[in-house]
Amino acid sequence: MASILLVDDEELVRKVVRVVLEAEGHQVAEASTADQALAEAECRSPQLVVLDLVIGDSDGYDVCRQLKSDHPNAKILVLSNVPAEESEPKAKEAGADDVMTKPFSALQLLDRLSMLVEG
Amino acid sequence: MTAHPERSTWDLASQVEIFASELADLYGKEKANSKELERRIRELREAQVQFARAFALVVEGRDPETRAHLDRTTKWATRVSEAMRLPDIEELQLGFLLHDIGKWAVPQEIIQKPGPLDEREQRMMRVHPIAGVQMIHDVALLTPARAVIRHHHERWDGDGYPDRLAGTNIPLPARIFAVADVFDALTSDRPYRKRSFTLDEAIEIITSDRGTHFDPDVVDVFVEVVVPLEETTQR
Repeated sequence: MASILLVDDEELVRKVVRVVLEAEGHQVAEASTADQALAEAECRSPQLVVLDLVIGDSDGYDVCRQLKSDHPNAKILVLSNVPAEESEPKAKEAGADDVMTKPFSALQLLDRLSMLVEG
Repeated sequence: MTAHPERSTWDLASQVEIFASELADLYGKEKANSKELERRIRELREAQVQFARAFALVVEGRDPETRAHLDRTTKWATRVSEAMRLPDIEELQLGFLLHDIGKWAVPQEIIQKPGPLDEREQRMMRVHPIAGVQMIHDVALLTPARAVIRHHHERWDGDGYPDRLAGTNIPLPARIFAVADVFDALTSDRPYRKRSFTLDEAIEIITSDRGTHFDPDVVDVFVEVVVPLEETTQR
């Protein structure tokens, strides 16, 4: 079981992912904006962050960078809505541990998160 | 700043589509799993019944007549239980099959005696219901079977054994089995009498014992569901 912060401005996506993660026994907190994400991370110190790179007007890469510098132990999986070959180098440089392209499979997300926790 | 919005691979509709197909996939797998589970439970139940039957035959003797008696009485009591909508019939079946296992505690010469039992022999024979429940006392699976084993020789009028229970104080499965047991004794050959009774004679006997030896409702259901079954196989 891991504590996971879910950052996405699309409520439906958060709801579905939350159900899947909770069914696996994870503890889930949600944020829909960059400020919320930083605040939630501050008070919960999650082991994992699922971060949508498109959250309102914020630059997801900046949020990622900030999260990683505040919480170097947290693993960050970013959800990108551009092809991986474009987003991956940039995301990794911003501190992301893994990148998935949207639309994504909730079950694959679960697998990748487990690998991040174990690895 | 949004990353390359013009090249976005994502919209909510495509995301929902993926989630929906994953859900459908999971549902299908879950369905298949539960079917498989049901199949295994059925197999396990059948195995329990077969095991109980084998156990009863080991205890009571493997002769064809014992086997036939077990199968007939179990079939009839099951039919009546179904007709009377009893719950947990699979568990009751185990009781039907094991009803006489307590005879293990009764000397063979009494069980096989080719004639009526004297008073001492009867007393020894009447030990078998309690000996039977003692044998299976620790088997949780056989808890519902206990009532059949202990009480299948009780009588509706309270004149039976071992507890002299009367009327609805006798557990219903035991009342049902009592009719099946006696009906089978009447219609099959026994060492202590010249010939068995015909179906009609046996029906007459158990019907005349409605309300004395037997639960009248059970006799009615028995005559309704079991007798037609035997008429077609015997005539």
